[in-house]
Amino acid sequence: MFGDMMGMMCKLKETQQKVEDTKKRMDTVLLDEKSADGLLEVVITANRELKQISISDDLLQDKEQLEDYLILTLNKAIEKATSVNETELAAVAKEGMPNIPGMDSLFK
Amino acid sequence: MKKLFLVLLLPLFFSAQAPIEVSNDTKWEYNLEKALKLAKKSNKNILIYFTGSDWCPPCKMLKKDFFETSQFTEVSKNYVTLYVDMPRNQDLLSAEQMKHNKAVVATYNKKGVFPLLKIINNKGKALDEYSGYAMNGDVRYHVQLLEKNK
Repeated sequence: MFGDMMGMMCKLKETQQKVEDTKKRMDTVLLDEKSADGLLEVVITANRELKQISISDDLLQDKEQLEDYLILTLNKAIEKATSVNETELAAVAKEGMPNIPGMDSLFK
Repeated sequence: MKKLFLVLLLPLFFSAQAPIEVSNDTKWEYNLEKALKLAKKSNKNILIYFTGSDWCPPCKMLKKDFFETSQFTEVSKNYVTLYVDMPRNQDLLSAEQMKHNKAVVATYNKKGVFPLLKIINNKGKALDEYSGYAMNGDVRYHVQLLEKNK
């Protein structure tokens, strides 16, 4: 019984390390999001850190329009990055979890 | 606000485009020295594609949406194409290939970001690059990069 317990603990530790590695790796995954007309572009990492915002001069004439563009594009980028991040971390966590009845539903 | 409404409608137009043709005809090189030799011989620039083939979601999507399309096959004819993979599973590459890829990343992808398309000339000078992918099938800007630097 204790052997099983030890094995389980080792596996959990290993998984914890894998999750940490994946989190670090997500810093290097870039997602770019543009407004449909390409006037605004943002680049974000899968850890939801903004890396770049490029605004076309055409957008600088109208403050309200620029604000709308920023809200839309940033929200889309954050949503996408969150989805990638959660999917990848869940996959790593699921891969390394010991087989405990009922645990599967946590990762669905 | 009217303008914004039209902008919101644009993605619908792009999603209604014809299905992408799949193609695996592009010949990738895996060694920088060889790619440079080929580029000199054919007087072409080199497209280096940095990917994390088994862990980077936008890289996986870009492969499907861009690199495996006949559009890419066509536009990449003007380039020598070099594939630099940094997989999580190190068994996917030989130790020698991994060492080579790390060296290319250290030289041409100093920030270590993925996916990255880098254009260099046949003397090894960096000309242009485009990083990231929105994972939505819109590869206009990747195509533009290749069209601009051929």
